[in-house]
Order: sequence, then C-alpha cells, then structure tokens
Amino acid sequence: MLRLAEWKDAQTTDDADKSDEVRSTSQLASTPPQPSSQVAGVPTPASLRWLSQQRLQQDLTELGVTAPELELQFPDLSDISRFIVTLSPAEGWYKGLCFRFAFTVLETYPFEPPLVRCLDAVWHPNLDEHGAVCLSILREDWRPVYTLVSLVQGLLHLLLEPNPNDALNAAAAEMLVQDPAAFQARVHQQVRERQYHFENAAPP
Amino acid sequence: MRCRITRARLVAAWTWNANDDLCGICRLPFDGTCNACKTPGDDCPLALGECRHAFHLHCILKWLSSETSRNHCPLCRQEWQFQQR
Repeated sequence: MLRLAEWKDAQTTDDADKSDEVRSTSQLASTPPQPSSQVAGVPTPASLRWLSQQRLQQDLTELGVTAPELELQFPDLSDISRFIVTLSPAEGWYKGLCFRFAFTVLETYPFEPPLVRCLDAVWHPNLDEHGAVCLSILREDWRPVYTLVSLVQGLLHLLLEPNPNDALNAAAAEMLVQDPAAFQARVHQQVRERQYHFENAAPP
Repeated sequence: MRCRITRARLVAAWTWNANDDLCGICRLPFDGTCNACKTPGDDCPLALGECRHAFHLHCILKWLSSETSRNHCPLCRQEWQFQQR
C-alpha cells in the first residue's frame, strides 16, 4: 500500500527512477503517433492508452492539490490505474465512518468512466451489498471533461445526501423515505456489527 | 527627422481564439497539441462546436467515436455540430 504523499515523494525524490518508469511504460504504449501518420478521427489503441496514462497522471496530481487530506492508496506502485480512495463524510447519516472506494481506470479513459466499487458497503439506497455504486456520472452521464476530483466529489455527495429516487437498494430507499429513524438505527447497527470506531456518530 | 532601418528582428506570435486555455478532454493547452501530436498549429487544430465550446479536433473526434458520447458536446450535452467557419 502506498499513500498519495509517499507516491508524490517517490515522484520528486526518485526523479530518475520515475522518469525511467514513465519512459518504459511509454515505450510499452508506443510513443505518441506522428501527426502525419495519424488518421484524424480513427483512434488507435496505442494513442488511446497514451492519452489515458497522461490524463490519469494529471488527474492524480489535481486530486493531490485540491484534496491533500484525502487518503489515496496504491496497492501496486507500478500500476497507477488502480487505487483506493478513502472518504469519511463529516456529517449526515454516515458521519464518522470510513468508506474505501476502489478505482480502476481503463485505457479508454477519459472517454469511458473509471470502474468504481465500494469496499465498505453499508445500508445505503445507492450502494448494494456487493459494492456496486449507483452514481449517474459513473455511468450514462459520464463526460470526458469530468476528472477524478469530480468523481470524488460525486461519491462524497452520495454519502452526504443518499438519493432514494435513483435506488440500487430499493428497501433502503423506501426505509429512508418512510422511516428515517429506523434507517439511522439500521446503519448504526450494521456499523456496530462490523466493529467500526463509531464514537463521533450522531443522528443528523 | 529621417532614419534608415538597417536591421530588424521580427517576432510573430499566434494563439488559438478559444474561450478557454485548456482542452477539457486532454487537459492540455490549446496552443500546445493534444496528447497524440507533436507540432502545434495546423497539424493539431481546434474544433469549435455550434455551442461555442472548443476542443482539440483529435480529442473531440475520439470522444464522438466512443459509444458513451451519443454525439453530445462534453461540456453542455447539446448535440455536437461542428461550427462552419
């Protein structure tokens, strides 16, 4: 596991190492195609892979700048397309809880959204027990101008304001609308079962 | 007073006339190139939509060729039409 800060340190201190790494991956992905050899509008797999790597590097840097307190972990340092973001909402139903989201960034990024799973699924209208996340910008509303920062904000919003109108877990959505107290109790109970530290939690 | 210019060093500068500095898709400056190109300028031109949003031509073409796009502008989701200039 590698935290964002360590990843950045590794970037700045081991400059030579890092540039070697970048060079070797870029060789794998082949260098960007020459303008003359590129037929406009017909993206080659190599040019897409190149774009995805470069955009991802920029997005990760932006994420580190705009949210330095955010916990970002790389299970495998040699693969920056897989990482885990930990979010802890400061208020709302899920206050005091930590949620790990596993991101997998595809080679078609930013034309396709990253795959996101929640590793700490709880009773939530827009999360199911397998970790699937129901967020429109992760699916049909994805646009390439969105960045990792937009996605992290979207996920945080989902935790602050569960949306019962676009439910993945219909029972949870119904309970949230019909009986908010029972909803909160169920969240609390689930949390106790999992032995989270829940000292700070209070009903909203 | 008359003066004779014996030598002059001329400098020219150009910039794309977009409403933004960066292409929203690759996040690189318009006055540079998209990720796939090396020479800025006519080899890596700008594309302007009817909605007045600008992208690198190569970037917007890649987006329009992907299934997710449904031919929408990445910024305003209106149907993408190239502006005829």
